[in-house]
Amino acid sequence: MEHPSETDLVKRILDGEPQAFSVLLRRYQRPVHSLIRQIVYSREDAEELTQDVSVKAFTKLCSFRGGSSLSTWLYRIAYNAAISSTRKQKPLYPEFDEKMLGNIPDEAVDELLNKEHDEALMQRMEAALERLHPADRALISLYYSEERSISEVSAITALSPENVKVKLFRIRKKIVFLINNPGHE
Amino acid sequence: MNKDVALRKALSRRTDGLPEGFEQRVMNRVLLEAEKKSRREEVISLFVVSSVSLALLAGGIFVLRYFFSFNMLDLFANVQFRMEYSPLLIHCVFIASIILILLGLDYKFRQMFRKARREHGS
Repeated sequence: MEHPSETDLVKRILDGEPQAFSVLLRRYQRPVHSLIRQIVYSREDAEELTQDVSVKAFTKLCSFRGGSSLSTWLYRIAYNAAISSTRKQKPLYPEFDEKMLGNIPDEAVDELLNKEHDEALMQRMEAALERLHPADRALISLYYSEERSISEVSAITALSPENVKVKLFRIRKKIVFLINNPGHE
Repeated sequence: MNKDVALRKALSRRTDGLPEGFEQRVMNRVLLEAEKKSRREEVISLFVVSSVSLALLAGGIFVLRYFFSFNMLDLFANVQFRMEYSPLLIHCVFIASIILILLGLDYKFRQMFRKARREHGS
């Protein structure tokens, strides 16, 4: 089956063929929804936001200049929309200070985050992820689930590549801290 | 790359699939937006064409009136419609009708062509 290129699809949509958007939608709806689902709290909100983001991508397609890949551009729209939707809710996130994160050895982090077949640990890890700040969850989701490179994560989140690296390093420690201290406020 | 496999697994367990019919719902909204956009563009182009035409007409009248001291009323005061001109008038109306019909057909065929292209694309 013939796979039209993204440039070709974008051109066809902008030339007045909105049906061509369904090809892009089929290609990107899952990863976009997956990122949004990691950021927002409810399944219904994630679904609604994915719809809104898709329609927004269609209406703003003329502003896509091709400076980045289409997937990066779509992720950026999804990331911004999801983060601003979480700003309306004000849940409390646990506070972390540098000292307590610094006390966690890197080897312990590596070991814990690679223990794949421990169901109890997986449940604690899921609970820890739930308590992270949405922007932190977005960052690890982009890097680990969506397998974006550091430069792509940087382009999506508008953080510098160095900042992304530092944040990823700290988020891993935060997860381990929350797994070991589930009651931490 | 198998680093942080447990973290990857925990992240993937948090996501759920999209419901059935999601794509169709989004496409319905997209097509509605496309329709709105095309109508908006039509209104804007009509407005621009009307404004430019009016401005040209006003400019023409202004130039004729104030630079060439040309008065339309003086010109039309001497115009008389006589019966011997009627074959010429009929001829002009005939030509104007043909032009209007051709313009209408052009518009209709363009619409049909666009629709066929859209359907072919989907």
